[in-house]
Amino acid sequence: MSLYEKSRAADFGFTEGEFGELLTEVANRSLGEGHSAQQRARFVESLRVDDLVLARGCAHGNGAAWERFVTLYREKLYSAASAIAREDGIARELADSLYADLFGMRVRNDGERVSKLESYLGRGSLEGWLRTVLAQEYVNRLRREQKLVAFDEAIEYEARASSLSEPRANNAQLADATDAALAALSSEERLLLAAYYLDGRTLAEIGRMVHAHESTISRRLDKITLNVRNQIVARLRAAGLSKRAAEEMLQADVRDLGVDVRNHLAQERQL
Amino acid sequence: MRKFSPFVRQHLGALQKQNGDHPDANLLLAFAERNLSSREQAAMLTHLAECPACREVLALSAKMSADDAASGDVLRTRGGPWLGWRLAAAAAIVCAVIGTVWGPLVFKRSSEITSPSIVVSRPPVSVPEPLFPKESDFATAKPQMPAKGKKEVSRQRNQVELADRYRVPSLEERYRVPSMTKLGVAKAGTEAETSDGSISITAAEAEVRAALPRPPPALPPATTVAPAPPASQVVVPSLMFSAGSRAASRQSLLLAQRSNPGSVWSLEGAPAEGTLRKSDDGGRTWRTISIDNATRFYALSGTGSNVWVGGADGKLFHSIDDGMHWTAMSVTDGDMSLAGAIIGIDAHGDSVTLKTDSGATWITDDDGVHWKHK
Repeated sequence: MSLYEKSRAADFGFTEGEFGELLTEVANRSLGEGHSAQQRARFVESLRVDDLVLARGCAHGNGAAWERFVTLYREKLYSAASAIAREDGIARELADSLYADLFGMRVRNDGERVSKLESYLGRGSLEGWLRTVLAQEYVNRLRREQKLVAFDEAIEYEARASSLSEPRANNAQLADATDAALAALSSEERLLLAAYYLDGRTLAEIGRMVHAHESTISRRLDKITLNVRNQIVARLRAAGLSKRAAEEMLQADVRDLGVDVRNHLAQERQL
Repeated sequence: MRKFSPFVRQHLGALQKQNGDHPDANLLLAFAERNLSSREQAAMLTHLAECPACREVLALSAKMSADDAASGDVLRTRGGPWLGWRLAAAAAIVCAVIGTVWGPLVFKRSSEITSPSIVVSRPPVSVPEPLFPKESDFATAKPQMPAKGKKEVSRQRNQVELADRYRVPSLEERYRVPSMTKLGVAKAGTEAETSDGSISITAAEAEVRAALPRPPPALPPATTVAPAPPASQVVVPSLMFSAGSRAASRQSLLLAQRSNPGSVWSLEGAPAEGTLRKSDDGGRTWRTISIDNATRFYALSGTGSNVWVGGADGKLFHSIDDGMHWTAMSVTDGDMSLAGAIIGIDAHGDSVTLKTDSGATWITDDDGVHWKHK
């Protein structure tokens, strides 16, 4: 069965030529220059061509494509919005907004309407893409709202926090050692650390993000934190400190006080 | 939460970027569904390590996927009495057929069989065209009132099928059962269905069944959704953990991971070729995994995202991230080191047992840090 037949592109009004052009366009946008014909063929074979033609059919205003899209995904879109937004009103607004973008409420200069579905490239399931776009919209909305925090409040908070966390000269060695230890980590290791310690995600959440079991994430975090600690201590010792002094410096850093006060201030602000 | 110096945490936080370019939804999706090239994967990891916004998007997307799986479970229970009876009747017929054909054989042999059972994942089955009622109003999203009669039954049936299609295992499922299914030994066409839709068989049964006329294959052909893996790869075959004499009869291994929906490993053509392949979408598409081009691999096993591969010349490789990175393992016990080919691996959590073609057994209980020779 050819890719054209498999994709059922004919159902949504694509000729074989148009289907070929679509694949070429997707390969060009995804791969760029400098790939062999074999690599491009392999890439095209990995695409979700059925979802791709459905999305492009919708973007081109094909009625059969829209009928199928609505049947398969509209309900999922709204339930996904409910899953991420805490309030029903926000969820509804989020889904409505995305739905309008998918349908194509924006119009180009030449009068053509622009559907967000045009940007789907078939590199994963259409359902997954809708979830991702929805999540992006939600995060953008949150970040916009966070920027609206009272300006004077933010200035006061930052000033107090930074005054408590002024770097001390005697911690320069520790800072250098810490930066070097973090820089020596792989990007994946830094991702795990950031997700766990900065974002406060659970092991299960991180596991879902990187396709690993939570016990694996737990083991890896243990190894990474131990490794970072050992490296910092080793670098401090190389700089002339005793092992005990290095460990004490790492544990009893004065800037911890600043972090605690930051947390305390953050709690006060929430109250 | 684990202890981690706030000072280090503060420095980690300083590496985070609040502004700048972000990957588009296609790349994030491809990362989430594991379709990125190695170069793209590396770039994406670097970005994610520094971008809290994209981490948030990825986490939300994964959460919605899990919620969707849970709602799939709910949908399944809403099939109505007719659907329930139909499913029960269909299950009874399947059981009766299997019992009639294979039952006597299985029960006769079961008292003699002590070899480990095998479970191989089933490739995705094509879903019939949905029959939902037509909706023409795209602007509103009012909940639909349930239709009555046959139309409703048909709609519910399709909802269940769609839910099955898009379902990933719930967290409870993931953690209740062993994170990776057992693998096993079998020759083509000797599998039997278990209640959870996987295919199970024991090694000795496989041998007996191989001598019988071949029953219809329980694994639907992977060509239902192209591109299909090569014919030799549409597999049931072979021996996961065995004595050395069986290695020669091995055709290929399948390793299905419950913890990572859609992730399936195949060790194809062992021992002649021993090519390692992986599918991230339940067998729809496959890619060859290159770890060490000079090594032929004979054995494959894993738990969760831990994957172990072993082969000729005692070569053993371990991945703790479902094949994204590999570590060459050194298997030694004092002055002794593993010699010959590794022909069997059995991994359960941190405990791993290796079998070599010389009959030796090597065991570790700490994820490969220390080994004992037996």
